Amino acid sequence: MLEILSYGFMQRAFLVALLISVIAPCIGMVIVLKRLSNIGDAASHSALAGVAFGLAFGINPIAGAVIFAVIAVLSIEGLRKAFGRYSELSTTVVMSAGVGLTALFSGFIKSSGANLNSFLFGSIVAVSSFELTLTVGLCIVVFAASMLLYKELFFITFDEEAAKLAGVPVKAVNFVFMLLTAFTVSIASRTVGALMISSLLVLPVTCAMTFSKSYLKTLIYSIMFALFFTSVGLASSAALDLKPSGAIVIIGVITLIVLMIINRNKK
Amino acid sequence: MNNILEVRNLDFEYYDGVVLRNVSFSLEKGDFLGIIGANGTGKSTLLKLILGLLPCRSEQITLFGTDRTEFNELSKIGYVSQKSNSFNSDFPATVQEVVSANLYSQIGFLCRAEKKHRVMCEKAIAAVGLEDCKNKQIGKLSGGQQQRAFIARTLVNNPELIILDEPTVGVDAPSVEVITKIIADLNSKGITVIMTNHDTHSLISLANKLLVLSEDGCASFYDKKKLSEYKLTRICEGLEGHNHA
Ligand SMILES: Nc1ncnc2c1ncn2[C@@H]1O[C@H](COP(=O)(O)OP(=O)(O)OP(=O)(O)O)[C@@H](O)[C@H]1O
Ligand SMILES: [Mg+2]
Repeated sequence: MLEILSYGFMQRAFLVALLISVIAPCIGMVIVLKRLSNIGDAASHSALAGVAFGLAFGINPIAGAVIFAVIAVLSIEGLRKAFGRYSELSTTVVMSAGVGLTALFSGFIKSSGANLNSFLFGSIVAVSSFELTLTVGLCIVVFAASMLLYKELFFITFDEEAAKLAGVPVKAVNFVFMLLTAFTVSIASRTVGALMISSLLVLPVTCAMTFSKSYLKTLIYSIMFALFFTSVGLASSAALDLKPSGAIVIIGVITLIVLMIINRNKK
Repeated sequence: MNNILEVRNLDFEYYDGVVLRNVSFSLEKGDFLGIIGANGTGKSTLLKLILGLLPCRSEQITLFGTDRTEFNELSKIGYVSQKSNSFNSDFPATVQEVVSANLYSQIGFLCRAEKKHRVMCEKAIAAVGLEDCKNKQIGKLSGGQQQRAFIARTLVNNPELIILDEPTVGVDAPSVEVITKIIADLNSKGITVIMTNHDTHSLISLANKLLVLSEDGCASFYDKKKLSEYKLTRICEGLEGHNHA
């Protein structure tokens, strides 16, 4: 089974998957703890619209995804204020727009549409070298920013009012975080697929939270879980000829169920 | 100028009506102000105005001699909000992590905590007697222990003014006593305290200044020393502060 690693595309796939496994929990922690998981969904569906736009009009799909995802998260923030008491509707509206635009743009894609399909469920083994460079670059940006902003993000996530009182630039940090979310979702749409990104953001963190008591340890365990899901998922998909993104997510779900059963028996 | 806080002719309204009308009072270093008033009379609103969480006009509030609108020595003020223990109880964060987060104003944006910051955090946790719980998940502590952790969180910055909004709500009786003692001790060390509490009786016994808010938005400010026994009893029973506008 190890000989598959000698193929260049497989090495690339592994590298990209491992990088995303490191950054997804960094973003996922805040998303889960602030109960924002639907923002991940809205951003990923908008990223998909960007992919469709890119494929239809000859722009690199990942670049298209980044642009659309950034516009999406910024619109969510803008609309949130406009909707006042129904602010959670802003995510739904942006997600609808994302789905609608994907459908519209996909009508302009000349080839069979198999390409868009590869973004729905991911196509980790088809990563080109330009995409690899873009992915590595964005991963470094997201990881570095989440480490630099670690204590600010923790404070805001736990208690935004207290963070504001302590002088944390809450609005600016939230804005940067939204951009990081958009980046993560866009690059992950290529590998795990737009429909599965939310699960990669949420599952490792949820698994870690079943037993970890501290924020720092939860983050570290989440990264370990994400690395475990993707490496086992990729290896088993190669060995058993499964779709990699599906294998990754299903392994995450199985792990979570096992942890929850263990946890229940402990009580 | 020994005045820690001065409030002058403060008015405030949300979209749907006046909450505070022409409120004035001032506090000196070491004062303990008890804010008394029925539900919805604007106690929390007044605290948020002082903290700058709600906007006020210049010259209405002066903190440590500086106008509220220009005040930025955030670490001088500690705040335990009314809803501080209503966070998600599954949140993975230890007491130590929560307490040290508030060192932000001393560490600064993007900087890392140093050893001295860790020492300050330990000291604050010890001041509320939570040494044994410092590595426990905060959501899994009792209500009283959580409130003590939130008091410790304000203490890391050695504040000169502590604002507590119902710090003993939803806390069992023995813990109420522990928390009350911690607050009284802080006050006896010269820290100015502003506190609201549904238990008017205990609040009056702790405080030396009283602010009674009434439903029409008006407030009466009293120095406890100068109050007659009769008046004190009436305040305690909630008879004072209504319909005297
Ligand atoms: N964000 C808000 N928007 C609109 N009205 C508000 C808001 N917050 C409070 N109010 C209203 O202002 C009034 C004062 O509220 P506040 O929370 O200050 O009262 P309180 O004295 O602290 O009450 P409690 O004893 O219940 O804590 C209430 O009538 C309340 O409904
Ligand atoms: Mg209140």
